[in-house]
Amino acid sequence: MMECCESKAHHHSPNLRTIAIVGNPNVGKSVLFNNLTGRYMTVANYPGTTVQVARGQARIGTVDYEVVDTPGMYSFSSITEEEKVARNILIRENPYLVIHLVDAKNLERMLAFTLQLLEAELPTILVLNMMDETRRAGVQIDIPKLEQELKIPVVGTVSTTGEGMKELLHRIETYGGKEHHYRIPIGGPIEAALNKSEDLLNDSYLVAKRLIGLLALEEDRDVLDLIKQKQPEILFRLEELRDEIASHAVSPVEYEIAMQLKKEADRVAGQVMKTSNGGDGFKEKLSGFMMNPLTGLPILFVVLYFGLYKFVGEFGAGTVVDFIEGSVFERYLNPWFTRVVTSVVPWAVLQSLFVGEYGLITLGVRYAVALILPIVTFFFIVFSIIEDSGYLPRLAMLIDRVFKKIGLSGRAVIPMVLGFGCDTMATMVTRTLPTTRERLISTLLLALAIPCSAQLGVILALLHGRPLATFIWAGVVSMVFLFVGYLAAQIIPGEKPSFYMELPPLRWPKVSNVLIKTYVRVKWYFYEVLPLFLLASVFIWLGQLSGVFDLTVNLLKRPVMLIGMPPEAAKVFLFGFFRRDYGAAGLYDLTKAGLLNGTQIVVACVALTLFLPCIAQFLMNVKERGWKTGVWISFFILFFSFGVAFVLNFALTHLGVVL
Amino acid sequence: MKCTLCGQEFNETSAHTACKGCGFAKDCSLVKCPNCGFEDVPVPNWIRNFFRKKQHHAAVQTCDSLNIRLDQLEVRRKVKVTDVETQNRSALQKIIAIGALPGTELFLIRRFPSYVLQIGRSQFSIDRELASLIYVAPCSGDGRS
Ligand SMILES: Nc1nc2c(ncn2[C@@H]2O[C@H](COP(=O)(O)OP(=O)(O)OP(=O)(O)O)[C@@H](O)[C@H]2O)c(=O)[nH]1
Repeated sequence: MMECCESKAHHHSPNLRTIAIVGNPNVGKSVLFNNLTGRYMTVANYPGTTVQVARGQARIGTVDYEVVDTPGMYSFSSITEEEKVARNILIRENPYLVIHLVDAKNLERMLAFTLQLLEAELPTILVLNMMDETRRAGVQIDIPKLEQELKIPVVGTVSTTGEGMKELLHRIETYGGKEHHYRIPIGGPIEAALNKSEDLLNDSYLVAKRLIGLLALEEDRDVLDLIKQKQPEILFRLEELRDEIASHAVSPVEYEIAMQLKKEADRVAGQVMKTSNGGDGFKEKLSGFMMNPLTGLPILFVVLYFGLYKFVGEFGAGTVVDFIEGSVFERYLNPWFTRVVTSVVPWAVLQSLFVGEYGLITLGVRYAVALILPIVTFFFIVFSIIEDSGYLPRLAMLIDRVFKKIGLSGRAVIPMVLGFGCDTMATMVTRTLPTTRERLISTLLLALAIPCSAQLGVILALLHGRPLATFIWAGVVSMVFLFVGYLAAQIIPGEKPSFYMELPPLRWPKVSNVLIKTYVRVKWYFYEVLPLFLLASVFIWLGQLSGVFDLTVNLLKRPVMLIGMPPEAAKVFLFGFFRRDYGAAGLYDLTKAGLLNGTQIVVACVALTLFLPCIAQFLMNVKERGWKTGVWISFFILFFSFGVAFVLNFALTHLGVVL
Repeated sequence: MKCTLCGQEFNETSAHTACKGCGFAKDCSLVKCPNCGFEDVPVPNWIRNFFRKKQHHAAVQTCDSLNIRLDQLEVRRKVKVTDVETQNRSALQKIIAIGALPGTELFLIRRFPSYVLQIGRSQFSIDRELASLIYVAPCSGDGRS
């Protein structure tokens, strides 16, 4: 048995045996992954998709393994791109071992997928995680009996404390290959068609033919593509089988299958699970408060105020950035680099590419390292805490109805909240939204009406001590957000969003978990965004050199005066495009120089918040949504932001509001 | 409804799937039994509602006496899923993912701003559109008593 599987594993991944961790979202996969892998890990896009998959190495006993942390999935019938990736890892990568991680207290619901894995003839170990919460909830599970029922190893763990890890490692080390032969008959016309499809398929697939046949009958694109590669001649026969089912059956194939799996899972769970009462009254209550709009909105406000404004804005973007930028860069690094470059590179033009006012090092790297890195790090600390506590799904639920009006579902709240950290990164995260329509609308709104933390810091400083002005600014920007979202939802065609989300129990965030998540995100962010910053520096350098910059500033002077600003402000807007916050900082200088009055400040703040996204985000829009859409969004925003600023200026001056 | 020929219980809203491939399916008022294919006339809604009301007052609550769409259920009630509308495939997959399949017991925690359900020991939030595809029957000994 051992030999057969060894050779099989060698056959497919010549270097290492692969262990794939699969399971529902939020069952602790990442924690287990980190427990297993330690230092070596990489996060990369799954080929042909935008989904991130983490891989790492683990030495267990004397053997090295490659461990893959797959995105959360509920079953083999996949809905989102993430689930597709997880599924493809299972059916294409021929894992040596699949660890199905479940939340033990919900065993009866998650067992259905274990059964599917067994039916697929994948070598599986079932890990019952969160045993601590399970015990607290008064659920008892007879693990030996479950092993007997399923004929696979079953281990109970608490991955956050390490309980059960030794046992799991031991089970992996001594894994002797699969001995289970699970088959759950579906019955009726579907079973008949399934049997016929199994006869059609040859042996070249890495998982059970039954699973391939099943997915083919479900009309799963990926699996049909796979069959097209291997046996194009049977595609039309499969289509006939599908028609045959459609002519008999009441419900789609995946529904019938889910029903049968559920029956079997209920039976097994009934044999091994016992429940008495338990529960955490306080957390239940708090959860209820978060979901009730009357109490939920104040809670949201408190979270935003302390988390974003105080911690990220004042401490991160203020104190820490001042220190790194002011002392470390301005005093030591920049002068040093300038000296080195001027002595090595003889041409002044080329020198300015590296160390000039907008040089690669003095602007690009400095921005990325001194300004963005600390802000983003602090933001991700807060975000990871919020995420780890289980608050985000409750926020999504709270806001779903409002978001439906602007063509989004509650899920979009995650990129939107991220946008307050960095819009560029948030635009990247819109990938996780299920439909193109939602991705497009959220990209537009992020670019238009969500100010990033760097920008927010400067704007709030500008508006400091002017409560009415702050109120007008926030009001106008929120109105624009809702109004444009509403219009976009009316105009952009496509499937209406639908919302479903699991609400995990509230938990105290774990420090180690928060730190690891922050670290991974900051690193990933840095790799994706640093190149864009460098590119922006090159653009600015070219712009200056060729005179395009001066030309554009002159062009901008008219519209800038139209919204009641002094012509000097034109430069601010152009800079705003290259770095949103930089534009805001320019505004700050203008105010200090006494060039702007209260009304002008509000108008400028509104215009800058709405104005074209920074160039990094522009490039990200293009990268994620394509050239046409990226440019189109930018044009729209260009005119729209000036339009709003014009109307606001007109209204304020004619109403005689003194700010 | 119950098929008068073979006695199979099925939900007529989901029974159209049995009519796939029939050219007249669109404005046809007949219901085809998914089990034996017998075509029957459904009882009009108003008659059924009439009886349903009556039952509501009289019935001892057991899990299968009446069918309500989940979006019309009051909160804090324990119910059993009896049927799921299966036409909209992408919605159906979401319902499968949260496990709200016939036979499952669930408890409705909130309706506003979105629906929050307890299924087993997990909670899920879904929107009204998804909730309206799930049919449930209140169980005896529910939270109201
Ligand atoms: N009480 C308890 N909490 C756990 C356990 N394992 C994980 N957690 C917590 O569960 C939450 C989710 O863990 P993750 O590792 O992020 O879950 P995941 O499965 O990777 O989630 P996705 O990345 O969304 O698929 C975190 O807050 C963990 O601290 C456990 O055994 N007991």
